[in-house]
Amino acid sequence: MSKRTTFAVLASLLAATLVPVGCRDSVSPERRGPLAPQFDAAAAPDVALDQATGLVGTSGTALGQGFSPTNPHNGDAIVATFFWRGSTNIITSVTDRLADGTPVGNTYTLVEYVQASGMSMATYVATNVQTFPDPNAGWNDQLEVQAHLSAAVTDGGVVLSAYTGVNAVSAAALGAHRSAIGSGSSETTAGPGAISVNAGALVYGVTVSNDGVAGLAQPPGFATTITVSDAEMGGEGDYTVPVSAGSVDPKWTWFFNAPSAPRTWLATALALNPAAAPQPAVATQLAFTVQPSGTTPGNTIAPAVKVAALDDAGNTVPSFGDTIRLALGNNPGGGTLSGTKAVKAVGGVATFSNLSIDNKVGNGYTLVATATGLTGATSTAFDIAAPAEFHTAAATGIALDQQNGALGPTNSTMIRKGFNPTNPRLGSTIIATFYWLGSTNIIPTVSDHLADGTPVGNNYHLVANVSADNIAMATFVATNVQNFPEGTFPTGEKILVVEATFSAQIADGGVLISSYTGVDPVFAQALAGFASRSGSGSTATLADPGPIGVSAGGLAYGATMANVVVGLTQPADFTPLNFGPMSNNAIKTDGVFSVRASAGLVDPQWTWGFDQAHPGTWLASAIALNPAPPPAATHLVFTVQPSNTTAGSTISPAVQVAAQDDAGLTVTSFGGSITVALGNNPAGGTLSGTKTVTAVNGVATFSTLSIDNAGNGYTLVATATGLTGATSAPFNVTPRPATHLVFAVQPTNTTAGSTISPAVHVAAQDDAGVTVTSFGGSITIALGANPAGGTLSGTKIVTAVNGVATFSDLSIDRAGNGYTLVATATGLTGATSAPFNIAAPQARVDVSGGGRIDPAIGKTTFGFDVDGRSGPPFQGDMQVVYHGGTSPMTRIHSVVIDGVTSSPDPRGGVCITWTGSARVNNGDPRRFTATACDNGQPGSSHGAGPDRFGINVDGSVNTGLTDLKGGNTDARQ
Amino acid sequence: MKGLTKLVVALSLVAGALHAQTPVSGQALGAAVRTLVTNLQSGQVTLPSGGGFVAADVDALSAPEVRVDALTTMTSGAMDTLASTAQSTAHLENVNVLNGLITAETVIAATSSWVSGAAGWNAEGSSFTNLAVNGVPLGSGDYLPAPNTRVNLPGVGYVVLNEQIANGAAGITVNMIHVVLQNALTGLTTGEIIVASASSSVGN
Repeated sequence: MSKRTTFAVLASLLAATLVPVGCRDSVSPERRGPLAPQFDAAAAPDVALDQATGLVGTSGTALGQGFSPTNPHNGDAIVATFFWRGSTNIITSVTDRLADGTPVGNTYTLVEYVQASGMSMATYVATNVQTFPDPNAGWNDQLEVQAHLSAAVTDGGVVLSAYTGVNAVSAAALGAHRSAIGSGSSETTAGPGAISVNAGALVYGVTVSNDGVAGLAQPPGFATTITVSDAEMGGEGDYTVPVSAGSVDPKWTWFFNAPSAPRTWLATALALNPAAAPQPAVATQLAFTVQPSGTTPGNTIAPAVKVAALDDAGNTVPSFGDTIRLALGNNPGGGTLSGTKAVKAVGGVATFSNLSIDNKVGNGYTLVATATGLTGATSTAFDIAAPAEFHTAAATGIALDQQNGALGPTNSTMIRKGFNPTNPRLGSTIIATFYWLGSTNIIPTVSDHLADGTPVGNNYHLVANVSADNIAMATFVATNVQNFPEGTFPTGEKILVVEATFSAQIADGGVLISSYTGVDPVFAQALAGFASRSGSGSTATLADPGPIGVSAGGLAYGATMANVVVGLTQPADFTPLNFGPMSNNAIKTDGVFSVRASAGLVDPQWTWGFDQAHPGTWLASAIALNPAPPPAATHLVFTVQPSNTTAGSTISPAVQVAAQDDAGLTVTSFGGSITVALGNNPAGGTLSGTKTVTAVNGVATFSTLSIDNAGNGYTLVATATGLTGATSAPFNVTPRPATHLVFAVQPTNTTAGSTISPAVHVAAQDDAGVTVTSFGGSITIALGANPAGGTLSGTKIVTAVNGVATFSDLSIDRAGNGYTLVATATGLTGATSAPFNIAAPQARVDVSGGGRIDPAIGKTTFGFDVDGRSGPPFQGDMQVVYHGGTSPMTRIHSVVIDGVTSSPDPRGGVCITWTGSARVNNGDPRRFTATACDNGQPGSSHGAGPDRFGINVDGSVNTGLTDLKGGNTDARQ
Repeated sequence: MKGLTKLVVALSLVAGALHAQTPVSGQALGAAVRTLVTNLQSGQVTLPSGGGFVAADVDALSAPEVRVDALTTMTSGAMDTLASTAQSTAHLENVNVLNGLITAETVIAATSSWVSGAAGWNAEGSSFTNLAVNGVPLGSGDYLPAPNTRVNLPGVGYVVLNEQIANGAAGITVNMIHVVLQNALTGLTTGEIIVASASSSVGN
């Protein structure tokens, strides 16, 4: 672009007012001005010039201008460059308002101020401008931007421009910015210098000079927003939106022509970053957009359940196409979810169109949706209800379902009527009473079919038949009707039609049909009784079929007919059928029914209003039908599953097992015993509590069950005679927390220095005294009572295995009675063992030797071999021959040893002393004490000095402990 | 080749055992007579090969050649990695040999042998009390003649008193009275009598 503007020309043309660019857009910011460079629009469509305006030649204490005629858009960024004659920044504030003076309140931030040669220029930016009419309706609500000055200026102006697509956050929007000044007398390049910009950012540049007539060429690649000038000043705002990040260096060319008086220019550039690109939506969670609806067992849940993948904001993420899976969450009836349970999402939504739950009735089912990496969702609760025919039978007894009736046709061999528009329920019982003129029953068959002719095939049994005086009435019953569609059929083709075919043409007739739910489906069992009568009268006449028995909950049905059309009073305790009273010019009929709460006789009694002028004959029939028996229980169901619990604790809430029929309904009449036992038993647990419970209203409640051993995956199995059993859902038994220690194996008495055997065992147990096998912590043992100041040796800190720490090498060094051990473990109550004793160690010595002593008092020869390791009694032998001086020889022999001790020898060896009894010269046994000290003689290194030996026999022989003249001892501890 | 290996191993084991524990032996004897008409041993005890203690106690011995009021013999020994010792004693009271030809109130034969670094033996403690030979007292009170003291017994033969027979470095036998019976005409030995004999040995 090469534009050259001569401000003198412009001034003459525009009288020093604004020169708006042709980018004005009164409607949409997306439309760009014709001066916008083509590459801008293509490269960075998000940031675009919206509106621009400007003014110069203003004096006073305010500089400003309105966006005329079209306001920017809310959310735009406004760049306002104010310039004036003066050398200081005297702008105290920049505000915006509407032209009618209404404050708007956006914040304008000073970005650059530059001045030179008595000329100032300040550029402000406001991002995300709001709260002004968009679009504006007229001049009054135009947005104005004003700079308020602290002192009046003689000349000044403003360049305003608004941009869409700029980052709304001021701190994030504002990029690099800089300003510069310069001067020249002729063609002069002006520019603030290069600034770095991000891709797609707005680069705004503005320059002014104190030469109102100089021409100005805009920077290459920039588009002009507004050019303003008067006689003293001129300037221009320009912008560009670079495609890629880099450095932008806007350079204008001022065409000064003032050789004798150089002109000054000011220039500023700033960058405004684009709005952050929206991040692609990421699915984080699932939600049921179409919740499951209640249905009946085995029937498809409709409408189709839909699950959507949503982002954090709850918006569906259309790009999500992974598989979403459904499963049963709450499962009150123990049902199984069938159908396609894993569906790939399309447009972020998975549609499950064929889900059903099997033949398990229950209220409060939920579905759980899952998908990899997403937070799952649980549906609202829904019910799986029993089919209607079962409902009525089990829950509400006999009830009227549908009815219809009509008289006619005449002169026909057929009478038929459909249940228009709603068919009976499948399984219900239909009672059809045909009326006609005739004297006998000439109905060979009654059948049913759909209105479109499709045969249905239920069996209609003739129950009551009565005729008199050329009128006839026959009532047929079909129980457990099947093979026709349920529902309402306004167009009629699927309506169930009951039809009687007469063996001869009848002149007139009609039919009353009604259906009842809850009647015993087996006809032979359903029919409790029937009666018919006829009569005539010429006055008001009571008409009744006679009493019949009706069982509790049974249906009593009555019909009557007369051959004159007179008034009729219906039975007081019966419910009239809507189509019961029918009449034409020949006959009049009625039908009633009643469901009896208790068993008894019924006799529907009508009163026909015959009179002398209208005598007539009546017919009446009554039928009693039994209700359907309660459905038999066939199987058991855990209606309250066992919950996770802790070992030994009662399973709560109480487990409940119901006896249900094939339809999944609890058979409240069931009162048998139900027994539970452990099924899967992962930890060898024992089930405790009352395990056999008599069902009440079909449900057995087990409120005291507990399992002693912790383990995962336990199941209970419920059984009852004649019923299919049930297995509960798996549940876990967690270990009760260990609370205290006990000595499972107490320390036993032993000798000092000896290992306490058997090994001491300390167990971590729960409150119930059950060892917590999961406990694997460290248990420390120490001396408790310490009567002899002993020291406990061995491994005193042991890690428990299966809840038990085994201390296998404990010993105490000093003898004493009443020692105790104390066991401790972090967080557990410690334990103190039973008292035990530490005995002095048994002599563990042996000594052998032989030789001679030759004291002055006499001579002794001796030999011995004493084993103190195995006693008492100790083993060994000894012979001593002693005599002194002239005394006779004394022989000490036949030794019995009963004690062996040892002691250190001061010479460094060891002395062994043994005691016992010996005979002296074959005399009676006497007590002796012999001592031998092993001191190394001869030749031994055991100690210093010769070995010694001495013996004392009852004080009569006492050699003293004397050095050996020959021989030696060999002593060991 | 395999058999040779076994042999070497076996020899090594034997050598190790010898080095670890030196065998001991010992024997004591109260009296023994071997003549044409008499052959007896009284109070003989022999130390088991592994050591230990064996004793015999005889209240009285009355043979034509020897009479003893009481005798006690003992032998004991122990094998140890530090020291192995054996000692034997024979202690006799009122000894009468060949109808008074030799008498003593007490006769004690005692030997001791050991190996403990060095090997050695002694006969300390051996003694006679009031010994008389041929009716002539030898010494007074406790008396121990020099080892291997020979005294002729006219018409009978001779006696060796305190006869000591060494057996290696740590073996000794002491026969306190060893009478050799000889034919008076031919001088041929016709028998022998040993009274109070003790022997001990370590390592032999």
